[in-house]
Amino acid sequence: MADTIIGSKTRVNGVISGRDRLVVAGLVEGQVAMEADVLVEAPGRVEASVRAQGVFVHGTVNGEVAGAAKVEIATDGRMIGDVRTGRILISDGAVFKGRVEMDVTEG
Amino acid sequence: MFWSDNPGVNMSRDFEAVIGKDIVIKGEIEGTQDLLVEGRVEGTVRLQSELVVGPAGLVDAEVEGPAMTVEGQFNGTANCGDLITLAAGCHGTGELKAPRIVIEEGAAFTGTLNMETGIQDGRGE
Amino acid sequence: MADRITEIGPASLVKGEIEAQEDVSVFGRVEGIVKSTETVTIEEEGLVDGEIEAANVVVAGVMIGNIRATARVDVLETGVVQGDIATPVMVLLDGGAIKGRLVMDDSAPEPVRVNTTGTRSRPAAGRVTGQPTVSRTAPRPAAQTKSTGATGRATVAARTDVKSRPTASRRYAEEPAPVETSRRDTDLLDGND
Repeated sequence: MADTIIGSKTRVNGVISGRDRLVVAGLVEGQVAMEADVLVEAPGRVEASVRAQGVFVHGTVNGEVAGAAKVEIATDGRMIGDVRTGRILISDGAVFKGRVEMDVTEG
Repeated sequence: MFWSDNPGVNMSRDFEAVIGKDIVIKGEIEGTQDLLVEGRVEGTVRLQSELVVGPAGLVDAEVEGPAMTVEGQFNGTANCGDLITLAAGCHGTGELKAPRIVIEEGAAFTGTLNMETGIQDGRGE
Repeated sequence: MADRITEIGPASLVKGEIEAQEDVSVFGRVEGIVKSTETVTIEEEGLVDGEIEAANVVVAGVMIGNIRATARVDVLETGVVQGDIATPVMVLLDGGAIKGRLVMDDSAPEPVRVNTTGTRSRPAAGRVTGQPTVSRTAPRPAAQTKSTGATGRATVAARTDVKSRPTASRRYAEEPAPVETSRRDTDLLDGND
């Protein structure tokens, strides 16, 4: 398994980068740049700009998301910030505030 | 044997050279035999064999040799070619230099450890 | 899950501060400060360049910088520490290496203080290059977008196969191999389909 996990009783203030999947159950402040997926689990919170392949929000994201192939905001997710992505899914019950810009590459 | 009532790793070993409990040596010791110090040594110890500071021993010295084991007290500088062991219950201060150093749980040491880490000091940053 | 503990993966780099009230294991690389009220472990391929403050510290990888432990430090056979260590209890196994000052003092150590709830005022040690876009205005539910269902979902299956490039065979190499995560953000941006 190659995950980076920020546990629920952990805060990271800085830059997280790499090729592992990032799971946030705690708090991340600063910047996230992963060449893999980022999963924000409830009650995890990301106060950071996020670049990742896929961003899956069950907890909270405050910050802009860019460069993602896919963004999913789940029912228990809450996202405030602009999103630039190839695909986006905002579930019923999810909270989202921000602009969405979708990369249109084909057709 | 007069040191055999002391618990310690050296119990099972036979030492031909022993500085007993009530002996104090100030000066220079050189030799090629493993040496057990149960008394007190101040000065310089240069061995081509192991120095063992027994549980009751106190060595306040500059030590050179292949190996040193401390079960009692050591204050000073030790430069060993192979191994320094700080055994449980020992107390030490000073500077230790060796390619291998072992610190057992229960040992107490305050000072400098000088081992090869392969990490360069002047890393640019 | 709420009971996850913190792990820095083998192909990950954290620059900044990690503060935890739980165990932290470093399989990858941390440049900065790691604080925990519990145990911080640098795993065999892991590297911390900075500072560690914790109740217990276990070093099987490489530590460059100072360690303060309130309970215990274990440097294992593969562990390397270049820096000072302050701890009441210390174990160094044969094969492990320490270059630095060791201070063992069993008088009551000051407990590790961590802040896991966030910093509004403190910047991230000046190491964060990008300004996070953080909006603190009270959130209002956005218009609830109806999911278009299938489009995206099929491809989402968790990428557990993400390549975890092991850190290069570094063992005591002169300069620990970086985890090479330094592709620029722009690369990430453009590199995605």
